[in-house]
Amino acid sequence: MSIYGFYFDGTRCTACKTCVYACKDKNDLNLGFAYRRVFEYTGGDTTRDGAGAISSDCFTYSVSVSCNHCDNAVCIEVCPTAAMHRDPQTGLICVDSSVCIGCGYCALSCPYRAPKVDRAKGHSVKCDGCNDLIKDDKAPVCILACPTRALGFGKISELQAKGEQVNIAPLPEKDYTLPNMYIKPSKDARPVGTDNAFIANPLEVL
Amino acid sequence: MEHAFAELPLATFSTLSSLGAGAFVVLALAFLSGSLGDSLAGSPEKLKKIDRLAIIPILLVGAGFIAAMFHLATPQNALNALNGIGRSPLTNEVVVGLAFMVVALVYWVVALIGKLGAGARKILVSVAAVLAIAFALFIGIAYMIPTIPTWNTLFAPISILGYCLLGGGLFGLLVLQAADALKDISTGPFKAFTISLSLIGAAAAIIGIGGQYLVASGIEAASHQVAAAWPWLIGSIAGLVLALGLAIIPLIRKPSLGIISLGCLVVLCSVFVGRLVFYALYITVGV
Ligand code: SF4
Ligand code: SF4
Repeated sequence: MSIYGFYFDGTRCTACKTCVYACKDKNDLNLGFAYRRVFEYTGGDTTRDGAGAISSDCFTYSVSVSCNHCDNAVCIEVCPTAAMHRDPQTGLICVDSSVCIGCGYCALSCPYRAPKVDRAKGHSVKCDGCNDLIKDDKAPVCILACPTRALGFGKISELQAKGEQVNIAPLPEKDYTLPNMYIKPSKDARPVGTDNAFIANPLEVL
Repeated sequence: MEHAFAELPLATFSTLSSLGAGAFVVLALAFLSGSLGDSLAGSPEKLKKIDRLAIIPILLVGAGFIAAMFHLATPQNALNALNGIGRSPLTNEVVVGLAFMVVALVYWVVALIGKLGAGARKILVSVAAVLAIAFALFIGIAYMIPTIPTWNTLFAPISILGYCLLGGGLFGLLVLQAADALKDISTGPFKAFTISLSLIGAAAAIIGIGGQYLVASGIEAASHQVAAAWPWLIGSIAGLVLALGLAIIPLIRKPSLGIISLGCLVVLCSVFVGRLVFYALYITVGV
């Protein structure tokens, strides 16, 4: 079972993406790879009524997501090699790169698109929750880097006291994988499955 | 169709493997229905020829496995894929596929060196046929992932089972006819069984891929994929219907190697296109 999870405060995030680049830096990631991604989600309409008055319900908000180290981790279930595994000490989900064959089943099935096969490295890569730092009693770099303190990391029981399990668009219904990401949604946050809204930065996150 | 072209190795694997394995179902029918064994007792060279040619479907499955290797980032570690036995549906698929390969190869080798008695032949070829059907089902089941709503339906294994029976049937007929043995087994239940099998196979293939498409059509998030796949779906279904005709005609009229070979080619292409449609429908419940 998972011990740790992420916290995200949607009322603080400005979509500056410092978390994304701190993570890329620590993990020395090339172009095309980012273990943490910030989804910019935008929608709504601006309309003119019969009397000519213009009104708008347009909105935009951001969600910073890496791997949620899910309780019901579909990536582990489908992995044929058991390379995708839970670290027995921290409960964080990691890829054993010496075992992984890069079949991509984890990447296909994760609804958060956390794992990705790096063909140059020959295996699947994803956020490991800075497992090395956690074992040293330190915090993940993305959390330390966030200038607005919108991101957090900690024991799941503490996170549960601070927020709700993530269940907002454009992310999937939480029951599929039981993500260990707890959030304080922004005022504009929309429920899962909202139409009339879209991910505004697909090239950056998908 | 973007996602389909990203998965060409998997489309090739699922096509070649299901068709190759399915040939053993028809070979089993031929030997079990009795008349072949009896009539061939008088012409051992024909039997020998059937046995030699049985390598064709085995090679198809082998080529399928090789194609699947191209999908891996580290193919030299491919055997690690056995680690997830019983848990990972992908491992289960590989294990059943390998079991089929082992039995089929043992059958082929023992038959070629002339050590396969009639009883042992029936048993081995039947085991291979059962494993072939299981393999087809497991290929489909491996795609039933709860977070991929367009794949997570029983239509996935149903379509592959259909490809295995209809397409594999044609390759089985190819082996028999290339040894000029079809006319010897025109008597007995073989014909009726093979025709029924082809009909069931075609029905399962069309219901499978059509049903998959309907499931995807009901999912708003998949609307782009659904629209793009439409012409490919029609092409695949038309090809499957044609292949059914080409499988049945040589059985009710005079057996003809030309028609059967054409049937093999048509079924190979239409199953491959059907697989492309399947991969094209990929979406997840999330981002
Ligand atoms: S977010 Fe995806 S990769 Fe991470 S644990 Fe959940 S299912 Fe696995
Ligand atoms: S890519 Fe590696 S970690 Fe992912 S499912 Fe395949 S073997 Fe497992």
